[in-house]
Amino acid sequence: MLKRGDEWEDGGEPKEPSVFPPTPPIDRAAAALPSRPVELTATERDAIDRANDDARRRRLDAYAAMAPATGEYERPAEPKNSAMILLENVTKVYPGNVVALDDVSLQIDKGEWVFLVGQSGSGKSTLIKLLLKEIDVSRGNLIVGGRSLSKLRHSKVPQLRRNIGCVFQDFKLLPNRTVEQNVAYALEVQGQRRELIARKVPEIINLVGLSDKVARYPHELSGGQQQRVSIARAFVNHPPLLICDEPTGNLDPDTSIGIMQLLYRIQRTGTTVVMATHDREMVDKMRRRVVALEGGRIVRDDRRGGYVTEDPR
Amino acid sequence: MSSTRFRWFFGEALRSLKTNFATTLAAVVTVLIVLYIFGIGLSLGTYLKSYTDGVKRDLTIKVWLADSATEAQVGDVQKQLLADPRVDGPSLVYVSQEAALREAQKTYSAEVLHLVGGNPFPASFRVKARDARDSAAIARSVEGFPGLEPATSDLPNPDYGAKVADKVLSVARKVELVIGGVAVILGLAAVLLIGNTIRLSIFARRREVEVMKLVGATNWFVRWPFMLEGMIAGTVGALLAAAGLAASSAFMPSVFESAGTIKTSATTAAQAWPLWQIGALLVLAGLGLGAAGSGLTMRRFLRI
Ligand SMILES: Nc1ncnc2c1ncn2[C@@H]1O[C@H](COP(=O)(O)OP(=O)(O)OP(=O)(O)O)[C@@H](O)[C@H]1O
Ligand SMILES: [Mg+2]
Repeated sequence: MLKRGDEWEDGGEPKEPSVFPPTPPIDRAAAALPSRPVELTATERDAIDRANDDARRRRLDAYAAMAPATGEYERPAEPKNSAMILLENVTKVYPGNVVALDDVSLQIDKGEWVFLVGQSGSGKSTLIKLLLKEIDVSRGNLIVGGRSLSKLRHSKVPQLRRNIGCVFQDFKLLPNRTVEQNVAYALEVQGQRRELIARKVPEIINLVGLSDKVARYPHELSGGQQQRVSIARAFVNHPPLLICDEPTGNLDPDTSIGIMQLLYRIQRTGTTVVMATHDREMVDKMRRRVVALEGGRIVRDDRRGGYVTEDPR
Repeated sequence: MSSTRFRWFFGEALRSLKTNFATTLAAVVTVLIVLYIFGIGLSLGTYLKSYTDGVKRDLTIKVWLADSATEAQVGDVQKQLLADPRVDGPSLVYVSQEAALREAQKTYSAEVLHLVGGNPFPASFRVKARDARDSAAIARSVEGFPGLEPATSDLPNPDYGAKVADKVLSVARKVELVIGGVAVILGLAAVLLIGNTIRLSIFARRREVEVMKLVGATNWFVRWPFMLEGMIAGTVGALLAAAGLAASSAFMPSVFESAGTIKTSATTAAQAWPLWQIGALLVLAGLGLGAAGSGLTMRRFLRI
């Protein structure tokens, strides 16, 4: 009697010859590798270390150059009416009773640059989604640009978003549109005149340094280039507020610098920048305001903060 | 919507139709199949309707009057018929013996009539019901009136062609019901199928919709190109269905030409709605299906 599974007991291997060449036995493959790790001479090791250090120093210098001038820290506390963003006891509970933000109060003034830091799951993206009214607060009051978002009618949400530029880790470009069309889309949704679009779009693409890529599709660009496109799109309206959720999360350290320099130039025009990030070097060297979240609560709010402590150095 | 704005939306729709060619094709073929079947059903349905209408129109109640009937008796019969609200008053005609003979002379040869000799044809009232279904009741209401020719088993009096008419009408009613039912089911299936095709297309592009809304597009700004897309696909499918129907009409000429083989006793033969009319209806249906299909399915994806 043949029982279930019996046919696999002996000779379970398929009889047909494999289309793949036979793989060599593991021990022979291992024998092909050098038996010990390659030894570096002392001079070789020094050269590598020096190159790494140089690269790192260059990056740190680049970030430090974007730190505010001394004196800018000691600005007097702004009155409430200059707030770009105001959170009053904001709590966000996701379905399933997940508390992502817990009684958060925070004021961000016009023209400020704020880093949001904190471990994965601490609520940074939740805060950003609230600002864009992708989701609604569960309790408390959230005011953006002088308007209470809980009282904002659904028909007014597009208007809100046109006044907020946003840049994400995954770029969020429209895949079937060229660089030029992606940037133009942000103006088209507002019903801008064609002449104005034709004038502004090349200007802003030039600003982000992609003039030679206007007719390329997102999948034909590198990550850094795609992020430049998304920044161009975010800034083409000259919005008073720019929100970034890990804008350099997918980019290598050197590319990140270029992106940050772009955002820095945008902030210098008076735009408020709120940025969630995990980039320690960048936060430590730029010495901006740092709001640290932990388990949905603000655990630190430094005027010139570092990634983990106040005033690094 | 200004015309430049419309042009922009239209361009968007065309572009998206091109980039999503596979889905477009699926939607067009769905509309094509559904509307082709619908068009065939509509042709046959209207043909049948026109046929039964012809039968109904020709359903005349004949009240044969005895040669011996007095003027008062004839007047009573006429009064009774005209007083009946189910009777179509203006249709009432009195056919005298002479008129009946003249009518017969058209049908029968002189020899036959000569053989019979004299004038064997009785005078009669001919009248129609407003609704053909009331014919039997009207006939019964004057049955047995004095002055009527006595009825025999194969020559009922009054005579409304009971046997033929009842058969035709009951069969026609059943066929009408079946065609109506099939049309309803087909319509539902069409909406579901098209809705599903469009949902697949939108579902594949929901991230795109998300991004559009994130940069400040209103719901209508996102919706318009999608709806135009549905309308274009629906119209193209409908045009193809109409073309297919026109080609098929060659195989059922009797349905579309008045020189049809099935003649009712009426002067005109049964005929379906003209092809151009059915074609226009299909195009309208395709347009509506496309717009409604995409408009309704969009709603779920716009809540961002
Ligand atoms: N849609 C959702 N439904 C339920 N829970 C959610 C939802 N989105 C986020 N959360 C939860 O809310 C908490 C905060 O998530 P959030 O995305 O804000 O974290 P984050 O700080 O952005 O993390 P990361 O640094 O990894 O991006 C997490 O515990 C997460 O699991
Ligand atoms: Mg996040």
